[in-house]
Amino acid sequence: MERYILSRVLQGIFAIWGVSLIIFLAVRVTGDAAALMIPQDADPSEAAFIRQLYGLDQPLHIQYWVFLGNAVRGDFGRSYRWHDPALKVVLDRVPATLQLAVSAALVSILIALPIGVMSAVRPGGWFDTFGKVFALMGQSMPTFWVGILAILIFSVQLRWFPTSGRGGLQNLVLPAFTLGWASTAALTRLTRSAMLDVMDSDFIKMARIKGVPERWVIWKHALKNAAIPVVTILGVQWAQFLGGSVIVETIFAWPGVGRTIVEALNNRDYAVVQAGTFMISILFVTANLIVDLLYGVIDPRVRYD
Amino acid sequence: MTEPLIQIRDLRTYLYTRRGVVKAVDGISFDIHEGEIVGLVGESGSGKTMTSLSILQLVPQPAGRIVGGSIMFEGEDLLTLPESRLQEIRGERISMILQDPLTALNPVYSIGNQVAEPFQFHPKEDGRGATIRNRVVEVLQRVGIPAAETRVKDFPHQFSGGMRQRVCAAIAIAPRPRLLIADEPTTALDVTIQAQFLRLLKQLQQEFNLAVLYITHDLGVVARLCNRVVVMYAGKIVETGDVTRIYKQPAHPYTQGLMQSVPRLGMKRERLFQIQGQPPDFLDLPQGCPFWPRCPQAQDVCKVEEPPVAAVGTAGTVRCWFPDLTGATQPVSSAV
Ligand SMILES: Nc1ncnc2c1ncn2[C@@H]1O[C@H](COP(=O)(O)OP(=O)(O)O)[C@@H](O)[C@H]1O
Ligand SMILES: [Mg+2]
Repeated sequence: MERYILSRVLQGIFAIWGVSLIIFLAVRVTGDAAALMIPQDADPSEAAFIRQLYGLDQPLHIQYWVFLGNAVRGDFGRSYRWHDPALKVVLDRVPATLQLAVSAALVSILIALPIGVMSAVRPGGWFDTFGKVFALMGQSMPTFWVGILAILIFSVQLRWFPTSGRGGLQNLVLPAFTLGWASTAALTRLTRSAMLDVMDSDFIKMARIKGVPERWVIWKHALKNAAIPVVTILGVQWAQFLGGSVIVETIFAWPGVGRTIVEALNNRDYAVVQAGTFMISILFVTANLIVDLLYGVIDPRVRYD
Repeated sequence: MTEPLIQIRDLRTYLYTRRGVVKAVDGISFDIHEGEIVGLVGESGSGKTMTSLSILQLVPQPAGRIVGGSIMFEGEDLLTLPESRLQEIRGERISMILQDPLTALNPVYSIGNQVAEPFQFHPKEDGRGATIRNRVVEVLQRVGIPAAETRVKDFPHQFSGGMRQRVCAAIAIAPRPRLLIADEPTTALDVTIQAQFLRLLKQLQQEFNLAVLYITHDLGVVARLCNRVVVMYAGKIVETGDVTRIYKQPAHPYTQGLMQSVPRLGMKRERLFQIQGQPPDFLDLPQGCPFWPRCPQAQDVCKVEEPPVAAVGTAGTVRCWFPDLTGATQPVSSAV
């Protein structure tokens, strides 16, 4: 068990390192940061000074070496814009992103599980038809469009929820639904097919032979087995929640890591882009480790060695 | 003779498949008495499992439907009961052991949890006020699970096939049912484990005075275990009778064929006899007697008209135009 966790942590670190390398290069080959930081009519010597100040005059491999050495110590440099350590800028926004992504995941699960289960219990029935339409809509409507539509209907027309910002539960509803939308559809279909598989098994027949009420057969015996593939997909979708947060946070002006990365990209605020992507990778790797351990909780046959 | 525990009359269970209607159980009638072990035999695909699932009314959905007949059990016709009453009967009055112990237990719950369910859902005073946990341990000990107190929290995959089948037996006998259906319970087990399991089943049957419907295609087991035999072919009963008569003087050519395929003590290591031809295709049954294409005694009439049912031996029946009635004590009477 410990060995398993250790090896997974090492794999995670390797993945995070890979991401950081890609971002480091991508940021540097797409433009000159120093040129953006100084007025257009500034003296060339000023640009040279800025480059020197931030080490941008060094060869790429030296820059990377310095970057890596600092990153290991948690130093991603200072934000040009916020005049704060980049990691602090990002860390301040992690709770907002986590709140949004976790809420989106919960919304997804709370909608998808019941609809998926009820669809499987009566294939072709009322719930099943509703679930199919719902899944089709979910998979064919892009997140940004769902977000704008949600604002138009629920904020502008009905005035139920605010259009943007972070505050109470009121502010959370629309962004969480928007972010969870696409995954909810996929999860509904997956739950349905997993349940259909399980409902056919001998142990379900056995539970019925015991005289266990059908409710109990479905929600106890079948659902826990169907949850095994569902949890796998949740692990994958966590990446979509984090990735989607970039779009959703921008639409709803949600002060999270995703929106901060977008702003930093527009400002060529390297340090923040790097710290932000680093943070997102960590959130992703950690969540996947949690999912792996969750398997063991659900399925006693899983062994970690 | 006393009233039978269960009386099945003209039971018909059809499966509506994409390729057509499978008459998996097609008008069968038989009784099981209190404390009696009845063997239900036939090649695979003859409708044995569908018969047992029909008794519990758990035929596969949405394809399966019981389209006719009656099943009288303890004064009620099971086919007319509402689902809530059936749930009370299942597991408490009638229980069943499935063929494959590897798939019959839920992999994600401990066996203690699964053995506890019959007690949970059929709360019955046993006069001692024993807790469910104690009763679970007790019944596991009864079926011979070593160290039952500690093993209750283990999961199915931590048990061998034979042990898992014992757990299933524990679940089946836990609430002291009157009728136990065992659907080829030893097919998936090793030979030595099979013998042990049969011994256990026999002990339990005597201890609780259970009526047992024992489904198998192994006539060797039937000889050791059963009082009476019901032989099925293509959804119909072709012969019934007590075990000694069926072994000594099988009346139906199909039963005779089955008998010749049983290895007997002292037999030379020759190739076992096999009934010629393919098992019947439910979607394309021949006219007349469904067995005639494989029957060594088939005559013209067999190919056109369904055979009548004749009495044979003591309370036996045979469905054939030309049965071997050497053992018959009654004249032919046609019915059904
Ligand atoms: N779920 C099902 N759907 C359609 N046909 C089935 C199903 N289960 C069994 N059958 C068919 O019903 C017939 C009887 O099956 P079964 O009762 O399982 O036979 P046995 O137990 O004697 O081997 C077989 O022809 C089989 O193919
Ligand atoms: Mg069968």
